[in-house]
Amino acid sequence: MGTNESAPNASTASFLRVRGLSKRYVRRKALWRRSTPVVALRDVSFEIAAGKTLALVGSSGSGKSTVARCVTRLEKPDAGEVWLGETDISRLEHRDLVPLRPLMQMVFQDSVTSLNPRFTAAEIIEEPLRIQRRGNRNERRNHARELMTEVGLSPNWADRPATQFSGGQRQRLAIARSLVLQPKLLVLDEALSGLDLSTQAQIANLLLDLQDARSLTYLFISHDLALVARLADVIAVMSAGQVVEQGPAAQITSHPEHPETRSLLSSALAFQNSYAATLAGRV
Amino acid sequence: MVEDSNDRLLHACSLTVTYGPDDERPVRALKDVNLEIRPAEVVGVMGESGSGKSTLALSLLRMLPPHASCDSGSLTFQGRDLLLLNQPELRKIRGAHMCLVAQDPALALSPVMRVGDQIAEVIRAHSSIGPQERSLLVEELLREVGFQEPREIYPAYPHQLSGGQRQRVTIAQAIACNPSLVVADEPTSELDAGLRAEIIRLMAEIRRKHRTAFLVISHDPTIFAGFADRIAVMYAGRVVEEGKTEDIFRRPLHPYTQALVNLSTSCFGGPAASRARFPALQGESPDLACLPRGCTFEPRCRERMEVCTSRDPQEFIPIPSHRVNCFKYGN
Repeated sequence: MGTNESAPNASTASFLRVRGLSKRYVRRKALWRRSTPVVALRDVSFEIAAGKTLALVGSSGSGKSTVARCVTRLEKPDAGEVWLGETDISRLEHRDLVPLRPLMQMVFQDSVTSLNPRFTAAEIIEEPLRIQRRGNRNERRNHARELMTEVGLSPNWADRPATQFSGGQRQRLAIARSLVLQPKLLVLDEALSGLDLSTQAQIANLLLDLQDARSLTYLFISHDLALVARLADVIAVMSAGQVVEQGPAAQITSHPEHPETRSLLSSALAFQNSYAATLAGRV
Repeated sequence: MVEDSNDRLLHACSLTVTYGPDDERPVRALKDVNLEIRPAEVVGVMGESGSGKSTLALSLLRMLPPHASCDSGSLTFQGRDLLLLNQPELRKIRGAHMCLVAQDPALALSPVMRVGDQIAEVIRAHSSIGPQERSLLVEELLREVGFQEPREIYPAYPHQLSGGQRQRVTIAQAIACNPSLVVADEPTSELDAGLRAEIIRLMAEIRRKHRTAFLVISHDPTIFAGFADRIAVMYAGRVVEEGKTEDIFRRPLHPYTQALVNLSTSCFGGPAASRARFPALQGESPDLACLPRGCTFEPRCRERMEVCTSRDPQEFIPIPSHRVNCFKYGN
């Protein structure tokens, strides 16, 4: 294999390496006032092995989504490196990013606002292929139908507008769209929040199945520590723009060290404990 | 069990609600819903989206949109049939005796009005006390819902508050006139786990202090533990099971409730065996515009029987104060 190969080495090599990521937003309160920068990320580092899942957890405003936006280069970080395989994408210009975009795709929380309501299901899934100029019309359509089947949607619904799908089905559509360019990395930004418990479980199972079938690498962003404990190999806890603790999922949930991790865990457990107490007759 | 009707705060009897008819097919959002709330009681309504939970909340307050119609049934609140009242009469009840806490406080609050004034507005609509007394009362309410410095919150606009703070403001609005029933539609679903626990604790505290009854709607059964006295489980516009919280969690009868309880138990206990799948319930809830014949849960049910496809299960009461609509318990 050539040394400048951009595809990751199969086994345990890190597929995504983030080093010293920093980002500030400048917020101007009023025209005549001095602008005050808000530090969104401060020296964030983590890596994810190919085919594994890292969960980035933290309360609202801790900077999780900024990490997602910098990793997928929807934002340009102020400092730091983002290694996707063998390429540092943190400083690349738009033109140089285009061929790399298919490698990393994002699934957003709100499938109502992230899917074009005037598109049909097939159009939503096909759009990335059109942008990347891949295949002809028929091939694209067939690909979309195959993906619908893979994510558990009937291909007979290919011509229905997105608005006619339920929340869970829309999230399946968003996942199908994210897979159409055969990415290696999925960035899932609160992809399970806002769904019913039973739908959450279905989508979580689907993500696990897809990861097995396609050896995908996941960066999973969530505020729900209890949920990601089941899905992640590694958990990184964020607070005020910094990663304050990271380690194997089992260790983080059984021996949390940082106060932020403890507080996230105890709020996740608050319901579990009273629920377990109520269940006591059965368990 | 014959109960004194004075013992009930609210009683919905075979309530049926249909959306239409301007749609192509009318959507039957609620069907024969029976529900009782006693004074100072917390009743949880659980079910997935599309099960009719929010329609139930809105129909209790008679706040359904114009294209919805309450086809049959009765709805008694404090001894009066709400379905017979006109709008001015309803306005005297809403906000004063029965209040709504909406799911999204960012939408429920006006963005261009100070939050203190929005609470004061509720008081002004229902009582004749003067402006000074009113703002003192608002401060007291803000303190009661957990703000240490009510004077700093009073002049804030909703966008200056966090999601959890906004939800506290809507709760302050709801309890401003000391109502006997608060209907809370998914009050915690927009919040993260820590805030969720705080809001539930706050509602439990209000109930204890003021003997306010709560009807709390959620898709997440865990919030009801240690909070709700009874739980009604909704599926496809029906209440398919209802009983005491402990009974629902320990001995769920309906296959749907069993699946939900099983699933929420499995989410606990820290990291499970690596890559273990969740015991998810397969399929989706049915389209309310074209419901299958027979039991609405039958297509997803693991214990389906022949009778389930042909008839609708009626209500059975296999254990005192625990009712279920499923043929497993009678015929």
